[in-house]
Amino acid sequence: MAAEAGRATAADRLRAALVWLPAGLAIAAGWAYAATRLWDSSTVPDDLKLPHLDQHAYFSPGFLERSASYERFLRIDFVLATLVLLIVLALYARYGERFTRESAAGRVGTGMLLGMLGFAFVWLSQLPFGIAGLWWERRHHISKQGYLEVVTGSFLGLGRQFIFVCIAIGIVMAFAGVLRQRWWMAAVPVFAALVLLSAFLQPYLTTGLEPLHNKHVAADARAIARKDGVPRVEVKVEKVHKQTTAPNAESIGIGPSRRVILWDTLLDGRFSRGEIRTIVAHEFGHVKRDHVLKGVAWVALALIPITALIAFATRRRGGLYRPEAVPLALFVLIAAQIAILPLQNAVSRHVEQEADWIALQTTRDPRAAQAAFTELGRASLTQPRPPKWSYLLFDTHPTIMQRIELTKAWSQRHGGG
Amino acid sequence: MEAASPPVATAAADYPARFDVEYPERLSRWKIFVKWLLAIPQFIIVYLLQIVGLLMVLVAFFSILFTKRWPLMMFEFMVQIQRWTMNTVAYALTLQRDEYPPFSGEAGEYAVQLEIDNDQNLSRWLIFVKWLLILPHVIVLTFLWIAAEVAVIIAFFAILFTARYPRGLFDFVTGTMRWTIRVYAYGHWLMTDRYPPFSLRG
Repeated sequence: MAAEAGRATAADRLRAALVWLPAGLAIAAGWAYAATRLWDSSTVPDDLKLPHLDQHAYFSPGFLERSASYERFLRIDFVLATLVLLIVLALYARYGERFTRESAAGRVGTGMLLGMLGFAFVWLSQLPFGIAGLWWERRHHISKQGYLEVVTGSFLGLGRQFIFVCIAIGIVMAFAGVLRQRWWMAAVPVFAALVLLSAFLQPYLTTGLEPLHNKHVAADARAIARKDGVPRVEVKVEKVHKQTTAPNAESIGIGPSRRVILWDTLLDGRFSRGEIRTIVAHEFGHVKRDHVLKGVAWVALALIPITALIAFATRRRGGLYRPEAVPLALFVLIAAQIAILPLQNAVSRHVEQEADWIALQTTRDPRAAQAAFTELGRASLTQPRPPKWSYLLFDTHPTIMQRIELTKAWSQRHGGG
Repeated sequence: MEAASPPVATAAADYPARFDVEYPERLSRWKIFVKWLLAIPQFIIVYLLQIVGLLMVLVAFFSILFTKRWPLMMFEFMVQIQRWTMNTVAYALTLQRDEYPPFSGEAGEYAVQLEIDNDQNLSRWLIFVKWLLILPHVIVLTFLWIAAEVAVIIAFFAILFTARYPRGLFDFVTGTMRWTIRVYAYGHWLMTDRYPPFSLRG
């Protein structure tokens, strides 16, 4: 009897595998095709060879030593924070289900409670490392924020995080109520749509943005926008000089909500007009090539294996139909995010290099670009050529030296030095 | 593996904070115009009592931190304050009762029931995050209260023309108040550690 049951189970599994294998292969093939298309959409020439330049020719030995020491501490801080994060989440995955006893909120409500508690533990475990990083940044005059301001700010930010966690868990558990282990198939498009919506709304929800008053920069920005074919995209200034000395810029939004944002630390006199023009052109490069939209597409692609992995990992706890599975799901989610960090950074560096290339094509001013990248490195105490492991694990942008090398490669290709 | 049954057996009915309003078969057609005026003394007292209640929560925060419980006398006084408040709300704002509420928060004196169990073993650390954990409830309650206000406006006209509070609307408004009380008992008054149900039911 038992042998018959065993044979029946094996046959069932085989049947299920025969049904799902082609579907799985089709999804994998579609995924690989979409990822390749996204990666190949870059406009940086494939045959471009970056010359190897000596960083000592651009930065003083004192700066190289100081930036290496500065970043070493932050890397150690990050690695320790990540290890503690994984340990805390592993313990929460093991023991977190006990909190279900504390809830009268039903299946989904209890799942939300467990999700929120998980993130509260994460916040608590990361707090010492955040404070250590802040201490180090203050010591090097990069950050100007007070400890109390950062701690209370991040604690209040936890509320916003809780709302997102509850929405996500609500969606997942609602789908799991109907589709059980296959919830992820329905959840991925919904999450992708939410990410798209949040990317679209971000410029409208970002507070503290001001019009660009600097007439020269505004005129340059208008000229670049026209040249890049995005004349209606506005440039705004974000006041951050009370929090940091580091310069930065970003492009946010999708379609009609697209904006280029310059930190006011970029306009405080440390950067020349030509250097600012390069940075603005870089951001318009992101706009021109729809990098935010492509970022959403990458997120949607990443969601497929991650959610499938969560569904697989939580099946022994009854799947995400049950709130007891939420702590384990959090652990798998965060562990997967850490695991794909090198890939995520590779994608980010790829699009950043494309934006650098477009900036050079637009401004045709490699000297200003080189000066801008050098000054960006100096002002942020960025190590121009970090260790390879650190580059792969942490860097979302090409290294400062790679960016300078790109300006040389551009010059060589266009008949310059 | 499929889950056989929902894992959380705890029902809304056994939640440590309980609230109900007795349904009146008939209500006065004219009182609905003046209840809010008649209740002004009640509002003033309730307002002052709520300030006292707020201070008591502050004391209770430290009491829970060090002793894991609300001071007994204060707990009972706090429940009385909230009972008095809900009596006034049920009379003047949600128009659910016609009897003028007593100037007291004693149990059994009015057709509004509010009971909260005194937990003697509260969590020391949950008091720091409870106000954040109730955020999903707050969002839902925001919409529920908008709906409840619309329901009260409809009920106002229903009472005016029929002298009756439509039962469905009455239960919905009572449910919204019940949900609010549970969330307050958990997240604001720190009186229970049991996460409140997402439910209007008692």
